[in-house]
Amino acid sequence: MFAPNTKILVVDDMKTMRMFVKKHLKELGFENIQEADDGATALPALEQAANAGEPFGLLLSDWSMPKMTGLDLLKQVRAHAKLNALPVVLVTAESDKAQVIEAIKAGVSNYLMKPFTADDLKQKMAAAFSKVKMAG
Amino acid sequence: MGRLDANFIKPFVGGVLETLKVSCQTEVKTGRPYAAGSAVTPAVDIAAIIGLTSKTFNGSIAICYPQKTFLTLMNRMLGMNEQEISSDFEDGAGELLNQIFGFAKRHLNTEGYEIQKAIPSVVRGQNLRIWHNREVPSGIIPFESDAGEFYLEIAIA
Repeated sequence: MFAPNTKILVVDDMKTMRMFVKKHLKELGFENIQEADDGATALPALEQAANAGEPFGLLLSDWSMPKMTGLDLLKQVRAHAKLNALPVVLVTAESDKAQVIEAIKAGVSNYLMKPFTADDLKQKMAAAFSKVKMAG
Repeated sequence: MGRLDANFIKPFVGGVLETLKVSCQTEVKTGRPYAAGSAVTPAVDIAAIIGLTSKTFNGSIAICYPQKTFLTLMNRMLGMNEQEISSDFEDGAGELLNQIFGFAKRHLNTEGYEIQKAIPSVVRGQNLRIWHNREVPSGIIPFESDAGEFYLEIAIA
């Protein structure tokens, strides 16, 4: 299981969704939460943290965002030498088969459908962490 | 009412009930739908609107809230106690509609509607009225909850 001090990056262009996800994460006992409003700002934040020796332990990103989508961010993360093992959970209101397949091919750790409860989030995060553990 | 039949409307109603139950911990009751303009709707202070586009039809859907209803829903969603609709809260109207739209799209697309992705817009003001193209059928679905009343307006050509 993941530790409560896991450093989490929440990425969503909707401020209310970032607030909603952070509320759920705090209910689950997580306190080390940072946020970004787009994939394009999330990627440098992930890189800087990794370079500083304080890497994020989980990326929780919305799918549909301007500039860089959650899927594009995932692809960049998986192609990055220092970030490629990071558990990534994509959050979306969509569930097109083609979209799910694309995310799996790109290496998503798990997939969370909106609307969701704190318990739904906990289960998806736990599964994402266990996948990384198994792969490690 | 053309395409605005029960089978088309039901997934949107389902999306409202599910989204507000899960995201805002609010149980919602559905009222009797009616044609836009045939009855007085509640005063609206904030609304979100999204385009409906498919290969065979176009339209739009709007969710319209009085201030009190919207504030209560957002306070529940975010665990806050705000007295005014702040800029932080505004995009919540779009996010809730996005979730409702996603729910309906999933269901309708399994029946071959091929509804495309869309991005919601939010409008604010006192006593707002949402003007869809009045040349096309437009229906109102009223909702009631302990957070207050609100309604969904769907227009399809």
